[in-house]
Amino acid sequence: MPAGTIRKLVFPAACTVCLAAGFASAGRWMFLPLVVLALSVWVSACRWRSAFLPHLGLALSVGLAADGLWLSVPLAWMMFGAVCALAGWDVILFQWSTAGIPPGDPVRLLELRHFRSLLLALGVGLAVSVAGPLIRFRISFWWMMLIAALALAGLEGLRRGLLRGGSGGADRGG
Amino acid sequence: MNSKTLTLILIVLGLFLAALVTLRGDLAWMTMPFLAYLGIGILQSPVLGTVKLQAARSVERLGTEAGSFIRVDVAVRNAGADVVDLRLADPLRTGWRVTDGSTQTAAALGTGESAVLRYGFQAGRGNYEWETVRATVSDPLGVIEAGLMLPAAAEVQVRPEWRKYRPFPMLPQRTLHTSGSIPARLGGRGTSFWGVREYHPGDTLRRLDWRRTARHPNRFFSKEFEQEEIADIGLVLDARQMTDMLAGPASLFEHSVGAAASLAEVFLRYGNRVSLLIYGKEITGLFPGYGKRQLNRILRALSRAVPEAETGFNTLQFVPLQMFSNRSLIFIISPLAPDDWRLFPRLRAHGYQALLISPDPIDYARRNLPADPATRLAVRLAQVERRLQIGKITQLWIPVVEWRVDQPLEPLVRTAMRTFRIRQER
Repeated sequence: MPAGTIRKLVFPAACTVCLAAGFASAGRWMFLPLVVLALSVWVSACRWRSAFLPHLGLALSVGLAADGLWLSVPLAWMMFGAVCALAGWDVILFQWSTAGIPPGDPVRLLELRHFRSLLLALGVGLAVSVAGPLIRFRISFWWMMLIAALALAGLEGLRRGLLRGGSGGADRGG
Repeated sequence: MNSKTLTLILIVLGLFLAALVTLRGDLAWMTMPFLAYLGIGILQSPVLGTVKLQAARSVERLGTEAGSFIRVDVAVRNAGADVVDLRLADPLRTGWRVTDGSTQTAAALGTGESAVLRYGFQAGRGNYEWETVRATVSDPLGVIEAGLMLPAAAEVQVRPEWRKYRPFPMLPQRTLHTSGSIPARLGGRGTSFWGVREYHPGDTLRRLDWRRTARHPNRFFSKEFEQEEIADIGLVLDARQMTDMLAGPASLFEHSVGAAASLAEVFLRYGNRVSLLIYGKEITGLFPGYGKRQLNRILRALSRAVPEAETGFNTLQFVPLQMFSNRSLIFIISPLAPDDWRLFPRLRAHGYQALLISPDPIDYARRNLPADPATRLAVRLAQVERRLQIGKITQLWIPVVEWRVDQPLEPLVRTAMRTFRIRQER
């Protein structure tokens, strides 16, 4: 199996193991076929370049992880499963986008920057999501809604602010 | 917003909604990796004002004829202060076959660094121009993307395929008074014996006809040779889509273009003055000229020629003959549509000499048709119709080359020119 495919399959496989272990530890055996189905979607996404298969794999895996949390499956397994699904989805899309590009220093730098950012995002996300449930406080439904809306609006505002840096960025080639 | 960002936002919203519906805080915490991914992408996204990219394109054509290999290099340099994650893409056009490299690349460029988008493709006859290269600048995770069109202009031509012909034995009615290779039916300097006349002061002694001089005491006679001059030739290429015929990727029009290019080359090689008229949706005219520069102009015009539909000119009758001088010998390259024969009486009325080269569309189309009785009958009817039209043209003493495009054109034109010459001599 080529190295690229192995690299693409590592995180989906880890996601599958985490989800299967979580459901097994809670005795929810009927979810195992769904986990296998998610794995088959991931394998298809690795094999065939498709616009929707990686997104479908991510949605299925996160859906299963959320289902597991609802069914009181151990939180760590489900969180790890979701994080691995996110990593697998990102790696597959990145590999597809750089497929066929001859190797060289600029591509290596691109890969390095991408994986560094991914590691940072996963590390921060996993730390917060695992540590977060341990912090208990009560918050009303409307406050929660307000915070969620503010978070999304803040992210969107930040994105717009960064893109508004200028319209031109291109100099005429010599 | 790209599909990546949309997927993440939908998942975050879905998880929040599920958390609210089920009143499970764990589900809300599960959004954190996705929000972190989005947040880190947004924080690292480039500020467009600080992105400064310079692009330069070089195009190299290997081979000069249709189907030649073209190599394109687009170098993009980061002249800004920040590292830029960049994707470059050149749009693929119809008829291109990329044989080397890829039309897209990705790179992260530090200050002063360059990335090169390099690919090679094979393309048929045509004129290919680029104005820009599409660059997409994004954060390392590809969450926020911004498209830029970097100026990187270049142009390349794939000229029509032409064959090198030997000179044709032409005898035009009129020639231009510049020494060339065509017998002008005038006494003067040349190589073929023309006649003997009385000696004029200034005649070189080498031309004295000593035998005749010896027979006539006190009188001198000079030999005259047939003057050789150049001809004024006009080429008319029919570029109406109604006369074109497609057989898979190949087209009858390509054969017509090749014939026009080959004829222009041989006529210009022997010093003649050649003009070109492409009769399509628009009329493209190249005024008479000589030499390699004119050949380049003609090949450039032919490389741009495409058969065009919805032309206002349904018949060849409206060819603007005033473009050609009255001394011209006109070669018309057309598969002929109904009523096209009406041009030829006009040509004769204006006193032009003309020759029609007609690529046979029926023979060309027949190869792709089923061999059933209905098709055979249809082909026969079409052939009869074509023969009638060609008969009307030959009645005007205009030679017609009926060209099956799998045959070489040169001997057919040579034979037609010979009959042409016999008729002229009569």
